[in-house]
Amino acid sequence: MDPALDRFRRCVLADPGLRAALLAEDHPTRFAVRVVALAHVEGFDVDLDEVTAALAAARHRWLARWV
Amino acid sequence: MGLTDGAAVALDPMRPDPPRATWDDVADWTPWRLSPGPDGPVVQWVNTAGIVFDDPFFDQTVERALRHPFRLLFGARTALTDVVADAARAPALPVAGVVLHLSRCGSTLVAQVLDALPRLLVLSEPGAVDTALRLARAAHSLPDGSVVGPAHVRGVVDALARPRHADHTHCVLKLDAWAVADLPILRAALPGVPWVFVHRDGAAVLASHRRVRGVHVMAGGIPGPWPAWDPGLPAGLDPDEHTARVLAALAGAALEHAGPDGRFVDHADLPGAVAEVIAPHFGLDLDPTDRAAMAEAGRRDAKNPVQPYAGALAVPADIVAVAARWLDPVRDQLVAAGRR
Repeated sequence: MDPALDRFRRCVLADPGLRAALLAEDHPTRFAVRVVALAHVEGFDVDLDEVTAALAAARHRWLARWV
Repeated sequence: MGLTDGAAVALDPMRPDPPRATWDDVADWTPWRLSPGPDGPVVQWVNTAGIVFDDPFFDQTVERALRHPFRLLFGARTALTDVVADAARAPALPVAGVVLHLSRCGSTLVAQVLDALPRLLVLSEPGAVDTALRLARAAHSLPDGSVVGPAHVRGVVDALARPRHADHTHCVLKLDAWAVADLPILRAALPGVPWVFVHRDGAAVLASHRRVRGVHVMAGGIPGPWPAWDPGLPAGLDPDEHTARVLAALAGAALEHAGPDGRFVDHADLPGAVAEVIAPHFGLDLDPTDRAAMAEAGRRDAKNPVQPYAGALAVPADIVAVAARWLDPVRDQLVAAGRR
């Protein structure tokens, strides 16, 4: 089964309200907390460390995109 | 299934094996990268809701967007073939014109002056178009047995050219310098769309490349198949001569396709030529407010718009000789073509 964060991502991309709620927070730490909170509301058991690690990995992949 | 009716797409452009999901709000998304994949070329999208596209280069806008953690974590991917299938059903701005150039010759200034018109979405060197052109040039094979061609280039352009602001009525594409070698593909993808080729005194262009060489003037600098002109250059050339000969080939490609849809614009005539030559060529009617906004944009440093333009670099004497041999003849042809 996909990790909870991946399933929550699917949920977010299909839900304009969730997207707006997440776009409204641009501070990385508070954003990660909001991801966890909204995921729980939607029934996904997402861990804060998992979100933080996913953000760090995405940032690294962006910086290394041409390498 | 298509983008506009809840297509199955993959998430997170940064992930090597993203999960699949539905996504039906394509207007808030921008394709920022196209890359070959085992199941065919993949388009990567970033959410750009509320983002203004006013940076000197498209990648800078994407980078700005990705500073937001939501846009970084929640990206999307689609197959290139799906993008093409959906492009006709999603609203795209008509392309008013294409800006091609010799590099280091004021094309970014042209783009920034055009960007002063609120009705224009100006896309400066979007990487997905460059890759689409490269795949089309190589007749890259697709899983269904067909190959990438002008329709795929058009699909990518249409996906980029969705209105990003209520004022937008048209799009202008400024492409990478080497895209002029792909004019036949571009003209097939965007039939009837006018283009301009911006050029400059060859020694000034060479001096700029000596300071910071563009990837296209370095031997092997661009991966994948080159335009047909590159293999003709012998290996081991002096870097300035290699640069000059690549630039001469780019200029030659532009001249080869000279016709009613193409205009040649000299750096010496900028920024005024944007309003006087390029805008009418692109079918843009200008009122006094437009002209004032364009004049103001023309006074700024195009690549750092918060600064006034500081002027051109000094040209070393030895560069002049290289330019005289390889670039001056073709430059004379470009200037002459600009008078027609």
